[in-house]
Amino acid sequence: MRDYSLESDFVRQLDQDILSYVEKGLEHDDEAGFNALALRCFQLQFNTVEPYRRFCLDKGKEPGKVERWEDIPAVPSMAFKKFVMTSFPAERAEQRYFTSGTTDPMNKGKILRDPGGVALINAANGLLTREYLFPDVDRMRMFLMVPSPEIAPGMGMAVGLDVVRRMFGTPDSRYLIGRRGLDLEFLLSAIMEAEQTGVPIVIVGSTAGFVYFMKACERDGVRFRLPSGSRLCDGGGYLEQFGECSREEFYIKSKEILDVDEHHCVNVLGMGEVSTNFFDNVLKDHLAGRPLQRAKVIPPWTRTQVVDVETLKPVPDGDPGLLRHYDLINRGMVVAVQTDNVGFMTPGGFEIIGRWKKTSRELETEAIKQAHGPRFMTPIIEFLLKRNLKKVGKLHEKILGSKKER
Amino acid sequence: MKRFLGRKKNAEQTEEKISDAMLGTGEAMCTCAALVADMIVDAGQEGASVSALLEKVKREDAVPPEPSDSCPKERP
Repeated sequence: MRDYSLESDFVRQLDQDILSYVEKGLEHDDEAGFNALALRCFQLQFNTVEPYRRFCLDKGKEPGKVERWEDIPAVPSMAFKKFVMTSFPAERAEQRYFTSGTTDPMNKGKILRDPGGVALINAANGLLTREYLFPDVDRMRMFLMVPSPEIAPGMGMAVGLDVVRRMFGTPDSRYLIGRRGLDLEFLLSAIMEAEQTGVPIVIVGSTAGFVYFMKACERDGVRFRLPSGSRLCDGGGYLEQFGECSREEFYIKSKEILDVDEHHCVNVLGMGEVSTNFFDNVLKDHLAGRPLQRAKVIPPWTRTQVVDVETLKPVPDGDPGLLRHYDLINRGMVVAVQTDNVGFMTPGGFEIIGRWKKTSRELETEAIKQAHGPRFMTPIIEFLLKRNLKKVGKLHEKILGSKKER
Repeated sequence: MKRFLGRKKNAEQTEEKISDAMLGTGEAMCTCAALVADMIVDAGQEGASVSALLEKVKREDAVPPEPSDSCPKERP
């Protein structure tokens, strides 16, 4: 059998080629190059990730028979909770992330990353962060609404944002969540200091933390005016832990409470099972003088499809369905991942509107609310949902109902 | 007992296969946001008064950072 170890020529050359592909930048569009790299990743993963190999064989897919990246079998997200999905021995992992395992403490999700994989992730996400969060500044004073990796070494968001801090933060950047929870007092003083000095800041972190903070300010009638150029970067969904907050409300609050415009609020979709982060285009587009049309950008080293919830075949562009990602940066896991996230393609990329829960064969709003907040009330979504009433009729009725209630 | 149950679970898992039926559980793989939210709630900060803290901050002019929460040193 061919050598697929981390030291093998196969893996070393693959890493080098993926890195070169990433370094060609975000305007680089090479379909044939992407296809070739995706198939090499598939070959590696088929031969090294045993549960994945069995999954592929069940589908009659194997290297040599698959010629297009679209035909690489996509693994359901849940498989990452049930199996160790790595193309290298687990003991070689440099980073280990675990999910909370809320449903089964004995069965926590495991995301392992080898040194080469970490280098790919840092290169890819560093490039994206520069392009979509800091296109206009080298460094910025950064406040992180997450614990530090020292406090939470198994939290992917903490580890990832530590890299962001080191790459883009000024030396006085700081974590806001410590062992005693959110350091609200420090956050307030930092915001007031920014108001006084006029030096813009960036607050980055969990959406839930933002919702908590902004709702607390709203309740107490507290308002700030952050300097122009200040920005917010949130990820992780609203979760409703601090009350319901739609995306529209989030942006209204960011303006009212912090005086940060919507185009300076960048939402990021980051998942343990997909290495690349998907950034909103709004800040970059605003600085380029383009109108606000929020979308998650699909970088050249990834492909995103929206698939039918029943057939798992791609739906026509613009129709809602489940998001499927092909990510070359997933060299250490599996390149094709089928998520439970519901979304749709847009001219600028894609949008996520929630998460699918299979209580019936229809999409359920309850799950969507819990995942990312109801962000449905745009004409395009309403139009798309009406077009697909067979599958999302129930959802649409609920949306219309909730719209009337407002 | 816990170990035994863990082994039993692992043994059961070896028989398990990945399938498309795993889709639609509604569970998030990445629960970082939930963990952050839990940390806020666990600290009992839900009822924290922002306005009272704001007054305190104004009075004290500056807030000394907590040593345990400061930025970690650069990694090599």
